[in-house]
Amino acid sequence: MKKTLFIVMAMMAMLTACVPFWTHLASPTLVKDPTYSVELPSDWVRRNQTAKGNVAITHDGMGIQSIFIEQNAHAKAFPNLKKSASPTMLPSELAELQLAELKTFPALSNIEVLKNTPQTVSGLPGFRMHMRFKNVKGLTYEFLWLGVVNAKGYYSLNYRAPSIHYFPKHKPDFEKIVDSFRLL
Amino acid sequence: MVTGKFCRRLSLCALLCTLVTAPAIAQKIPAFKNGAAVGQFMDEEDRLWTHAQEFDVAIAKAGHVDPTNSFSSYLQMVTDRLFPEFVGKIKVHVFRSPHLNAFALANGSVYINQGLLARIRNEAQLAALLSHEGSHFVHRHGFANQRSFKRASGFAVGARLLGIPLLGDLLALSSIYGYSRELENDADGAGFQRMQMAGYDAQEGISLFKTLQAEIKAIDAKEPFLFASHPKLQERIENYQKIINGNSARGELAAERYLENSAEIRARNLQTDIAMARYASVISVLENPLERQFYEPTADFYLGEAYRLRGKPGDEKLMAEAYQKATVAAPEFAPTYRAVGIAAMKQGRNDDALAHFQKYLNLQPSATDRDYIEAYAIQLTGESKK
Repeated sequence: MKKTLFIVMAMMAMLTACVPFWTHLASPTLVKDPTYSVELPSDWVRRNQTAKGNVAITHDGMGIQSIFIEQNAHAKAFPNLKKSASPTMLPSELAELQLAELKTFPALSNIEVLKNTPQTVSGLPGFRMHMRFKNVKGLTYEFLWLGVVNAKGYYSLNYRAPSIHYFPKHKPDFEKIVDSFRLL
Repeated sequence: MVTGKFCRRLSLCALLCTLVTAPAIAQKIPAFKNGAAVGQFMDEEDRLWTHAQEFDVAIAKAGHVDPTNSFSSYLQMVTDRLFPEFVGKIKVHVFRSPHLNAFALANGSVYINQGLLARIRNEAQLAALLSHEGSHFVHRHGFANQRSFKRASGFAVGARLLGIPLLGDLLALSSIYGYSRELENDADGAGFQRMQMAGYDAQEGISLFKTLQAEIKAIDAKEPFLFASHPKLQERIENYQKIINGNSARGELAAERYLENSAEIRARNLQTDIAMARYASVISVLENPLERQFYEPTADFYLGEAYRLRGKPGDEKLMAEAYQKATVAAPEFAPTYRAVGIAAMKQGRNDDALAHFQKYLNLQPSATDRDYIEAYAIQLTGESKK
């Protein structure tokens, strides 16, 4: 039994290794998840190995710019804080917990909020935070983070890139993604 | 065939050998006699020094060092009093973290977390901490530690080549990446002597450890990562007690001087704790009247925020009481009115919420969350009209 299990697991590992890690998006691509849909822009590259229902894309490499779309069950919305989200939470409360969750990562403990405003996401009241942090080489990155909660879970869309050149360059693509995001 | 059980035993034996030999290695390394001797390196000590300097630069660039100049100057003054022959060689920095921790690098850089500085009650306690961390540098514990770690790493690589499963061993080895128990005890002894020579009350070292121990117990926290390299706090207390036994002479406390210099750090740390949702820590400190007395009246607002974030049954009432105290004790402090307004809004007391939101925006017109409050006010006004 153990031997069979080992062989099956080894085969699964090998098959997984055969799947390409990245997919180039030659044209705008509609992603349909059971709980949301979103259109990804062309000329970006999508990472294939992500948690179920999540999307990760980059244009020039994850260290240069990245966009993540994530969904979590209410109870797993803020895992490091061990706090839940709920549909009754105010957008400012969601933003507060999201910021605290980010600050639990040592590299982001000094993240600075440049602007924190309410924003409608797929017709629901959500939040939009514009943040900034420096890495250990002193390079400044900016973050745009949008979040919204409904009866099905907590959804976040975020974009990160160095302030110099990349952040403004790819921000319009992120805004298009946000506009196309629909909760189903 | 080598069994897994045998491999684990072999790994454990090798690990124990490493741990036992580490202090022996450490004893062969002489301490720096004075500032002039700093820089006369042994073997690969210069490489370690370079790594430490790179670490200094990296954390400064990433903004982890608090640039509060007046307080940093004060910390440096106390350090120089403890280590007069090393003036300019030991440099103290405030590390922007609410966790209760401090650490020294091999090049003489000492970092004390903002959270730990907020818990210190007098200059003698600060001196206990600085003399301990400074002694790690003077006694070259970083170098001693590097040697023992390299031996351990060598074992790890060798074991991996033999195909021995190492995950557990690597975790164990990572805990010795800090200073060993013997080196920590050594720093306690040397630190105690420094405190006495500088005229501080050495008993305060125990008071500080006991304060930390009480808080760690109250918030049910695992000791912070870098504390994992220290003997458990209880052992530290016992060790320190042994060192000071027979030395009943008391020295300077300088409580007022410390509290005056550190007021801003305490206030800032409350903000950091709440921003990082470390509500248990805030409640533990501010529910204790002995601790509460060291904070400004606005601290009641942060206590209310901590109850709100904790959200246990009964916390809503405690939160309201804390906010109420804050509005009385610090009536011009705007964030309390926002918090009371949001609480009222959630309870359906729309008029009360609107009045508090208005007061908040009047007191703080440039509030970063103004857009939210205005949106909530519009929503409430709409509901009231219906």
